[in-house]
Amino acid sequence: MCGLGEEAGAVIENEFASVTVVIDERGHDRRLRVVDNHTGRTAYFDALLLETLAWTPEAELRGLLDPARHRWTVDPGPDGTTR
Amino acid sequence: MTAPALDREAYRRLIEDDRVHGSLYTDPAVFDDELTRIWYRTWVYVGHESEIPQPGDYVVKSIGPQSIIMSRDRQGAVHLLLNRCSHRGNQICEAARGNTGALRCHYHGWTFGTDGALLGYPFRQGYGPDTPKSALGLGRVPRMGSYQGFVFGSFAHAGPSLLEHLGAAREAIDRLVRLSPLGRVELTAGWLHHEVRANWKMLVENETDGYHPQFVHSSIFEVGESHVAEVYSERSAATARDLGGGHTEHDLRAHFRRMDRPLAWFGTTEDRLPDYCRAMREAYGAEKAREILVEGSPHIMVFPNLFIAEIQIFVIQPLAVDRTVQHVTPLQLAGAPDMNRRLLHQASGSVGPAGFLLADDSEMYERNQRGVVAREPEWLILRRGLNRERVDADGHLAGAATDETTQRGIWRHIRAMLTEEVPA
Ligand code: FES
Ligand SMILES: [Fe+2]
Repeated sequence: MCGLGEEAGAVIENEFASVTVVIDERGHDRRLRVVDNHTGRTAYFDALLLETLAWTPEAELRGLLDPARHRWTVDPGPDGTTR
Repeated sequence: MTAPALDREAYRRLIEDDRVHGSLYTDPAVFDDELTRIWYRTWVYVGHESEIPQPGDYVVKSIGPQSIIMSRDRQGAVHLLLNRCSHRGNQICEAARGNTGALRCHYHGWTFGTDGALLGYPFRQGYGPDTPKSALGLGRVPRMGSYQGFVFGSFAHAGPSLLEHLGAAREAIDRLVRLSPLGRVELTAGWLHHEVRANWKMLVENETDGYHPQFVHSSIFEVGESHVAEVYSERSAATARDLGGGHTEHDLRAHFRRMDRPLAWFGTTEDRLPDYCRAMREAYGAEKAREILVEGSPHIMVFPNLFIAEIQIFVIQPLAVDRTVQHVTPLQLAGAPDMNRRLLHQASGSVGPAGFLLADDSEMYERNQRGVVAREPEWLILRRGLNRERVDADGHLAGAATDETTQRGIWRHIRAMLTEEVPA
């Protein structure tokens, strides 16, 4: 059974990206579930990760925003896959 | 396609002190010259800081046909960026406004900070190590300046400062913001966009034309109380003033001082806005607050595109020689919620989709454009009030409320810019 807030997923979007954010209570502690609405890719952020993000300096965040850093890293193969 | 530019001598011939040639409104070559010698050179109003209150906020604005992103980065600094990807020219922002920490081009995913810096591109193996990432940021408006929250941009790398450009118009902007008990205006009520098939100068000239209201806006006088009929009559104590630098105003203060009634300029009385009047007295003291509320709001055309029209703000955007957009928003005053409700209400009555004021003016702009293509007579006559023009105490040319002192002032400056006799 979902706890309070589980159903209340919030869509956070701008003209560049769209994610759904849900407070997930299935673990032993609360965490955030983030779903990329365009691809379905899902990631979980616990309190420590979020705290770390809040402490991440601007220059590091900008580094994470480089699209070639983690996501579009290698040229697409002949079948269109990027990994 | 770019039409050939006209030489300086041509503009000296086409723009005389008391008449101007009709081709100035219809010739695409003139329009191209205006873009390069006026719009892409002088200080142009872009947006207001109150439109991007939060870090990450952005709005899409313009300088003539150029689309401009006005952003506030995560540290709070304001930037004016050109809305064009540095890769292959795609438009970066499509929404009129939003909030983001970075801008990602939809075409190939190049990603930029809200300060315009290139953060990266997908699949970097396709670019050698010599690709100069730091030189591949978004284009920026070279100079940016802000006065009382009004943000201006200039495409000229050097030239007069914003304050020098504003000159005597500064004082009118000060008179606008003092209507707020907190001394701040907020342009947050949303924008209407009216496009007309007319040359931009018809709009600029009309904003401080006191000759037409009796005719074009007669329907407004018939509904409800309005000061407009009396202000723009031969009995008016108001002044049409050429502030220099192309800036012009209708100074209505003498008219309202004669009436000596707080809020008469707004067509209302103090008992209707008790909270606002109390806040004003607390902020400025009883005497000064009364003076402010009697004198009212400025009516000034800040060259080339910011029209402060007492209770609303217009921004003029030329798109082609015969195509212009007028963006309009109601004035909102920080710390004055009851006043703001009325301002919003009045604005929808005058410039909203069913409003009286702007629809009538727009009709005139389009008729004017259709009329002026005629081959005969070739000239537009701007002689009204030459016989009674004077220099006021501040050294500005001043005429009666219905005089063409203002149009002559606008053209004097346009001529100086087109002949490049003045710095931007
Ligand atoms: S045009 Fe923007 S990424 Fe290619
Ligand atoms: Fe395609």
